[in-house]
Amino acid sequence: MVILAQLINGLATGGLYALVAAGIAMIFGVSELVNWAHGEFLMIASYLFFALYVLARLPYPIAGLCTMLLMLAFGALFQMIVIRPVVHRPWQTQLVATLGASIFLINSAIVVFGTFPRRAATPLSMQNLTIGSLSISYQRLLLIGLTLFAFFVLHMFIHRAKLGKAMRAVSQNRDACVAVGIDIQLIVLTAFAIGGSLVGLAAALYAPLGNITPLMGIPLTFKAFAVVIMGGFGSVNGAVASAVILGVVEAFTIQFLSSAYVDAMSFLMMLTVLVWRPFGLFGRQVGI
Amino acid sequence: MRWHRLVVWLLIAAVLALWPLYVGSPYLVGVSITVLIYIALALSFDLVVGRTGLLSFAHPGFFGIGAYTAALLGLHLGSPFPLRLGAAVVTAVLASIIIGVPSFRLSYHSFAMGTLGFAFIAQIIALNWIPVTRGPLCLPGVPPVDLRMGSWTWSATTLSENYYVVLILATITLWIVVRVAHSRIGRTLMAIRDDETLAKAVGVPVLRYKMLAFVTGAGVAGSLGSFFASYASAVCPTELGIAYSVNLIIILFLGGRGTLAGPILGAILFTGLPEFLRMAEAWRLVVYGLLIILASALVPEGIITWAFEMWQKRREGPQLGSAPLAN
Amino acid sequence: MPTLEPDHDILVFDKVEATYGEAPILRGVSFGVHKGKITTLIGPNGAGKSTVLRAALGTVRVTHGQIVYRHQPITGVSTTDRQRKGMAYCPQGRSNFPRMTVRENLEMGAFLRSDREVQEDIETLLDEFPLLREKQKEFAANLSGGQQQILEMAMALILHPRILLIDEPSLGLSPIMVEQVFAYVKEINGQGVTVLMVEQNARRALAISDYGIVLDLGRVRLKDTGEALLNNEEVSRSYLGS
Ligand SMILES: Nc1ncnc2c1ncn2[C@@H]1O[C@H](COP(=O)(O)OP(=O)(O)O)[C@@H](O)[C@H]1O
Ligand SMILES: [Mg+2]
Repeated sequence: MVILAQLINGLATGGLYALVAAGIAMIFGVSELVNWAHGEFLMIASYLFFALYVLARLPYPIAGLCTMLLMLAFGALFQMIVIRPVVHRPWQTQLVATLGASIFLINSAIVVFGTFPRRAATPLSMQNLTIGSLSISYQRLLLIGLTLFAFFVLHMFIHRAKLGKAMRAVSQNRDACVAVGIDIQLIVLTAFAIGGSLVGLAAALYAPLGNITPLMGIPLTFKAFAVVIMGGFGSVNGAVASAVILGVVEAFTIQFLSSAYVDAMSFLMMLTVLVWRPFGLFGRQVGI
Repeated sequence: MRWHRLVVWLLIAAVLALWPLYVGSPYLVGVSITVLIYIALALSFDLVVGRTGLLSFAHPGFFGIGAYTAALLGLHLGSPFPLRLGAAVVTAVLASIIIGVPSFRLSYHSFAMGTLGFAFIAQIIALNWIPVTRGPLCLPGVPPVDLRMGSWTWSATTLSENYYVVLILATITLWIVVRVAHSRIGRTLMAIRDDETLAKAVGVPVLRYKMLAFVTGAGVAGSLGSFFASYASAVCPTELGIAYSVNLIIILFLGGRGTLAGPILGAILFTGLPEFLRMAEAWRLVVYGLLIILASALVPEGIITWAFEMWQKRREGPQLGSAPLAN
Repeated sequence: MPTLEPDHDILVFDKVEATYGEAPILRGVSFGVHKGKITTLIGPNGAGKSTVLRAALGTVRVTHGQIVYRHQPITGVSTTDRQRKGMAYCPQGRSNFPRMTVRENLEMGAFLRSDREVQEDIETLLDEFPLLREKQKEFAANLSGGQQQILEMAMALILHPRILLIDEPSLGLSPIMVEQVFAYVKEINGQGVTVLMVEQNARRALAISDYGIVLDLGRVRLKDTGEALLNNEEVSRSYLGS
């Protein structure tokens, strides 16, 4: 029973990591740029959710949906303001630009909300489903369910929608995109917008389970990035699979080892994978 | 023309030597020490970033490892500072070899992330290896920088004395970096940075050169760590934190990579700017964040390189080399 | 759709200079492309042939002179607008999406179209290129080099272009495939599409071309009919090899 409970907890955490990592992987796939501010997207989204749900008292589903939509716009704006001026620069410059954005966002949140943690508990996060000795909060179950659904929608989008197919196209051959008239900047913008909305969903689902703080995004960027590397750079599926594995490994680390080393787990796993298979767990299948 | 230059150097040396007397206030001497530590760290970091083109997040880790080594030796064995410094350099170098060998197999982003992973794990070890590091309680009471010759002993107890010690260390760092930059090694590193494929094609052992830069930088960082442990008289796990990596990266990218003046200017701006921007920490960092975003869009090669290009354009002289190697 | 136009030059380069950075690559290139004909650009490696096509498409910076397309100067017109106005482009080297199916590749070729007839047009094209129909569910990467070249041509045709700019279609293909690719070029031209082609395989290309242009060091050295160039001794010696 303990194992089952930890498995479900791990899947829920893995879902969170997957929602963040999918955005990083997708953005990398279409632009070869790593967004080091992606964890801060989640932090901003969590505060947005807090403002809508706790302060403005919108019903939970509406607050969640609005968070997603606002984050969609946020992702697009971020691309236009921070990324566009550096698209033709070397990768180090791009990295530093997103690092600057991350510092800006974290400290703006400190200025606006202060450093003490906020909470946005929902009725679902305060009730547990109890079967025998197994006890799981409904919020986690909702998180797992909606994350699965979100990835189903994303998969359909990437494989069926014209814009989604164009995203795959950009990740496979940029010169050919110019030849057929695909506007690469538009596709990169789309990736940022989708990345933003995935993180918006993550915030709406996960913020009720934990503390909202200005620094909450930092470990998430690292972990998500670690999973993206484990999954083979730019492969969304690989990142999602690695995220789930990491979530479960972390849950069992807490249960059976110690919570002190749980944050090192992601890096240990990543370093092991990198040494053992430099192109990621799933080989060299670059592309979305 | 040579005595011309000599006079300039002597003037700079005199100003730096008299500086603590001039500013007087202990607070400002303290700030100057921080600036000098950052200058030296940035210069050594630039050996990796500016000259190999790779972004390492492990650099402050070596600083921290040096600090812990020196602190432990000082606390438990009462070793004198030169020994602590030497041991700090050796452990930092060893750590850099252990980290570098697997990391240099990775490219670009993975290298950044791999080195970040090592730095992160080092910090977690420092936080949780309580019997040795006392974890978050830090290691207090590290003895000051000292020299012993027979019965003669001297120790840096005042701020000014510490200032002179770090000034010497920073000067040595500058000397090492200049030597590397102007040697065959430095030119090879630049060639690798500019066109790695070509360098490989003409038979340059690329990996060995990159390792060399990485290890040298780590040794310098370790020595600075040993000074820091004595200066602060305590070492905490936060010294290994990634916040330092971020600061160093910002310093290099604001100032200018692959130059000597760039890291120096960057460090002065970065640590000096707060004195002008007298505002709450968070607000200041908001401004920093904005500055970094703007700088990466407008002066991506750093202020120094940009200023140098402007100056060259104004002179409309023949195009000399691209990057100014302040010499 | 096609109005009655005088049989005239559809694309005109007028003293065009173009550059990627500082050094000029095209140094005052002037020529016209006859509507409905095949014109081939030949010349040594690095002469700037590919750059001519890129200048026409607007992906390289033109610093002097102008390019006139269908009697309108197109300076300042975006690449995608040029494509919407009937310029299609097959770049040098592989320019398909390797891990997308043949059909998806064709859909991407139609990216700029938003009408509902795209799927019908894809069917028509698949009829025209039976080998593509056979492989429509395969990843492009699983096609042979020649098949991929034909796929890329089909991707360009789906925009119903007036002019096809095609860069070294025979590069790296087996002799049999070269024949087939040139046959398709001829066929496409037969359907009324003007062709401006760059070719290293100069003899074979000139043989199917109406006109030829010799480019060297960013300048036009000679313009003539394909046949005349083939029979020109100096061209033979300097540019056709043997
Ligand atoms: N993307 C580019 N950036 C800079 N220079 C280029 C680029 N593409 C081509 N060149 C240069 O332009 C010149 C002409 O190239 P190109 O038009 O490709 O020649 P061709 O197709 O005739 O072989 C060459 O010297 C080449 O080095
Ligand atoms: Mg060419």
